[in-house]
Amino acid sequence: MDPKEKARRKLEKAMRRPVNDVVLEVQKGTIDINDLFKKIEERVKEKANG
Amino acid sequence: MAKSCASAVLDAALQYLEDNVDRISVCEGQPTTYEHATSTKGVATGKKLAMSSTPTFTGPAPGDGGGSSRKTAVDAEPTIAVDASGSGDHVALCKSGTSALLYVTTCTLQVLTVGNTVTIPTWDIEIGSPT
Repeated sequence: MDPKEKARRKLEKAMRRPVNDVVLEVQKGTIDINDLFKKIEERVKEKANG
Repeated sequence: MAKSCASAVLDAALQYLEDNVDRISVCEGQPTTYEHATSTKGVATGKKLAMSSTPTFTGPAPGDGGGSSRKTAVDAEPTIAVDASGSGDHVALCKSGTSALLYVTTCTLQVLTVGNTVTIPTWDIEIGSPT
């Protein structure tokens, strides 16, 4: 991201004012790429078998 | 058979998010389309309760999972105005230019009220190394 745009966004965030603010608890998003590797292996086997 | 993936490959995916995400929204129910994530609940198929156009990221950096895992932090998004009352349980990242829904995760259900504000604390997106 362009540093100027990032700075602009951070400034805009800092200027907001809370109103009965609720704080969320976000679950960490973990991506497992093993599934991707399995798919690649399957496709390679399919290609090899014609 | 051993598998490996260079950190640079995973960083490219995380950097794609940083370079393209310009909307972060809190939704009621899982959004599966851009419209779900960006249209206010009650309008068409909208599920959005609150949305900000100022998402920023910090990273990529080594992941918590070891190996070549990598993560990026989605910076805190404070005091977003709530547009519709409902139960927020998903957070979505979108790219407005191409109307693309890029990433969805869950959050602990919170009841939000229109006119109030909601804060999304900083959270991580991590890509694990292959095993």
